[in-house]
Amino acid sequence: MTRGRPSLTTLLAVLAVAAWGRADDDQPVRVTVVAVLASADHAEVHPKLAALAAEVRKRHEKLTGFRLAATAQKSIPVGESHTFALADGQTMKVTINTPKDKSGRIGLTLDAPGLGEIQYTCVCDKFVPVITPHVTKRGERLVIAVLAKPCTGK
Amino acid sequence: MTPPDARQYADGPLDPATRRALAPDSPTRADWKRVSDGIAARVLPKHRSTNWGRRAVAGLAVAGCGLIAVLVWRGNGPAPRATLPDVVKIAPDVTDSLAEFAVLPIATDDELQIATLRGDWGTGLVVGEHPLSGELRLATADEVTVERSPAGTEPTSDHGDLPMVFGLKGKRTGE
Repeated sequence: MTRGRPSLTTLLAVLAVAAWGRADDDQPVRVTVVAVLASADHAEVHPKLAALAAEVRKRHEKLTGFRLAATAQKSIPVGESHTFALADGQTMKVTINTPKDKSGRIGLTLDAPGLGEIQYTCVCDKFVPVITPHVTKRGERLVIAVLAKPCTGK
Repeated sequence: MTPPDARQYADGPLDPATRRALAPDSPTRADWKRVSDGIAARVLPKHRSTNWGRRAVAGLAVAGCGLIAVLVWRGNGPAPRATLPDVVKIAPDVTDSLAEFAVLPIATDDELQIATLRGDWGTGLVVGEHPLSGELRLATADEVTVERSPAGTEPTSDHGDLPMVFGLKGKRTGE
């Protein structure tokens, strides 16, 4: 009788882990898309965009001003897509390819305006920035940042 | 003032006329009423009734505004959730979805793995290593060992120091 207890406990633990993993696979992915307009005409940087501005400036020194143009958020099931409205009439299609894997990465495909498709995997809690070739009439360059993380229900 | 004779009460309470005849100086009902009103005027706050009235009016006003707001909202408010458009754009000044971040965290090169790129990405990538970084270096025939090639193709394996190129056997382009 006492020998059966560890086996039962182990079985329950395995079932719990399996159920947890299953739930993690099934849950949709919350995608946050941030549209930023970067300019060479001013040097104001939105406080939330400080890190983004620093990375972009490594490749585009002339872009000194960064302002938040639009933010959108959507829960997307794995294998499905959603088209996000950006700024200045531009849109971007986001597809969730793979759920969060063992290394904590989610697979996405972005169809960025003026660039084409990029398929990648990235950690869940970080934004992936993309500099598009689109320039507004005011001379601002459209920059996109995308974050994907499993929906927690919060 | 002469107090009434106790014998006058033997048959029960006196009628007012008899009472006044027996004790003409005793206070009348009007006198008691005047005294009672005077006490009430001094003891109770004068503005109490006015205050309740104002509160009632204010309450009715608030309820009326609430009712109007509900009616206006139901008439011009947002459509039911089921009919929301597929693409939702949030106003530029709304940053609620970014409230959890003081600064947007950006992925590093190690945290981003690019699988495929289609189109001309040029300098579009900020982080992550481009799958095609640098100049295309072609493997030479000496660096490639052909184990099996598709039917109809012919590798240029006889030129050891030249890039390995596979082409259709016996066909040339229109030069």
